[in-house]
Amino acid sequence: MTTHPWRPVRAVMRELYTGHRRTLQWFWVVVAGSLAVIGLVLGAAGATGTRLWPDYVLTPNKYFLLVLGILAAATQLPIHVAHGLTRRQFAFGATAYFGVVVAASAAATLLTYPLLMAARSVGGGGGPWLTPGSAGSTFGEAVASYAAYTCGGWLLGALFYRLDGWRRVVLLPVGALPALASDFVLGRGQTGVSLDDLLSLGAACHPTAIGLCALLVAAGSYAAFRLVRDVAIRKVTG
Amino acid sequence: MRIEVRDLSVRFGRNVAVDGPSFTLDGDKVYGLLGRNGAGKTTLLSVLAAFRRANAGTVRVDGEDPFEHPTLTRDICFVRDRVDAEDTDRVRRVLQRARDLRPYWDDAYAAKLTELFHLATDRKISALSRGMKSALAITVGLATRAPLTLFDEPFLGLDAPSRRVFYDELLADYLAHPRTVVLSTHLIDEIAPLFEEVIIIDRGRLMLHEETDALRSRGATVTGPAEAVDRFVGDMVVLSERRLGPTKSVTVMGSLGPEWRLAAQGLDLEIGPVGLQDLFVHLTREERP
Repeated sequence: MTTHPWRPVRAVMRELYTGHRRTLQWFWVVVAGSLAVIGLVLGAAGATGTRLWPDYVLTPNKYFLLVLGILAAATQLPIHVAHGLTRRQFAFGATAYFGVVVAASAAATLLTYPLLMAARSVGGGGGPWLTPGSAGSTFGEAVASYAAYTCGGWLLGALFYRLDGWRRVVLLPVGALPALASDFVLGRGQTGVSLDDLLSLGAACHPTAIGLCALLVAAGSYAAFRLVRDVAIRKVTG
Repeated sequence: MRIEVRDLSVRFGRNVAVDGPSFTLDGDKVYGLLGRNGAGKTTLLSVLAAFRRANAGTVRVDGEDPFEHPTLTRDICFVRDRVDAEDTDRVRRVLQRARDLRPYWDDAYAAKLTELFHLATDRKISALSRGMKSALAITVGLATRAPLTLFDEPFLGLDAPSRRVFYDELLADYLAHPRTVVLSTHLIDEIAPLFEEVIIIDRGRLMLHEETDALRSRGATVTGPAEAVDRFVGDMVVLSERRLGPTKSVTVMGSLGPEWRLAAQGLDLEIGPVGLQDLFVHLTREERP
C-alpha cells in the first residue's frame, strides 16, 4: 500500500495534539489564572514595572515544553513505532507538531500581557503597554527560547531512551546544552552573565541571539534524530 | 507475507541472543515459535517487527527490509504481553490511537473483543490487572488485522476462559481474514492445534522448522493396560509417562510404522500422535548439557 509522504507526519501531529490537548489547556488556564491574581496584587500595591511579566510566563512555559520534549522521545516515540510508523516519520511529525506548539505558545505568551495589564488596572494600578516593536521582539525571544527548550527536552529524552547506565548520566549536560545555551545567548540565564555582557553587541544582540538559538535548535534536533533513528524499541507501560 | 531470515545475529554486549538462524516462512499461515526462556524468541520477533536492527544477517518481509520501511512497517503488528501505551492512557484512547494509525483497523471487531474480554474502556492502563493488559494488547493485535501479526507471549496473566476466547477469535478471524501470524508461547499444548508450522529455536539457533503434522509424527503416544504398554515400549526413548489406575499412556520418540501399529492392535493398545509440548521438552532438553 502506497502512502502520501505527508500522511504519517499529519498522523503524528494529530496524535500528539490529541494526547497533549488537555494538558496544554490546563497549563494555560493555570498560567493565565496565576497572572491575573499577580496583576491584581501588583495593581493594588501600585507597582508600575513590567519586568515580572516575562518571568511569570516565559519560565514556566519553557520548562513545560522541556518536559513535553522529553516525553516525546521517551514514551511517544516507542508508542508510534509500535503502531507502525517509522522513527523518521515520527521525528518529522514531532518536529512539525512542536514547531506549531512553540509558535502558538509564543503567541499565547504575548496575549497574557494585556491580561496582566487589565488585572493591574482592576487592582488600581497602571503601567506601560507593549509597543508593536517590543511585542515583536518578545515574540521572537519566546519562540527562540521555547524552541531551544523543546529541542533540549527531545535531546534529553533521546539520550535517556537510547543509552543506559552511566552513559546517560554522564551525557546529561550535553542534552541540556540547547536549553542552557539559549538562556545564555538570550540573557535569561541564572548565572547573570549573557552573550551581550561578553560581546557588547548592542542593537545587534537580539537578532544575533535568536539566530544562535536557531543554530542550537538545528544542531540539537539533528543530534536527537541521530540518537533515535535506529534505536531499539522497548516496552512502554509497567 | 513471506518472511525470509538469513544468518541473523543479534548481540547484547557479549551475549548472543540470536545466533545465525536461517529460515523462510511462505506466509498466510499460523506459525508457532517455540523456545525455552532466553532462547531469543522475543529478540527475533523484535527484528521481524522492525523494533530493533540486527547486528548481522538479513530479514526480508515480502522481499524488503522492514527496518524503517515507510510503508511496510504499517503492515506489521507486534503484540507483547503489555500494550504499547502510556500508563495514564485510558483503554478507549489506546483503541482510538490504533484506529487512527492502523490502515486495516476494524472498529466493530475491536468493540466486540472488548466485550468478550470484559474490558472497561474508561479504565486507565495503570488500573488494569496484568491479565486485562494482555487482553487489551490482544484486542489491538487482532483488530489491527495487520498482514503480518506477531504475538509474543500475549496471554500472560490471562485466565483460562479468556485464553479460550483468544484462541477461538484468532482462529475465526484468521479464517475470515487470512494473514501471516507468528505466535510465541510457553503454553504449547493449549494452542498447538492452531499451528500449521512450528519453529523451535534454542540458545539463539534454529533447532527445527517443520509442518506441525510432520513434527508430531516424529513420536507417538501409546495408551493401554500398563503392563502391555511397558512390554510394547521396551527400549524406546520415553518422553513422558502418565498413569491412571491400570491404564498407562507413554509418549515415545520415533515414528511407529505399520508393523508396530499391528503389534499394538494385538496388545489392545492405542497409538496416537505425540503431544507437541512433550516433543518440545525432549528436543530442547537433550540439546542442553
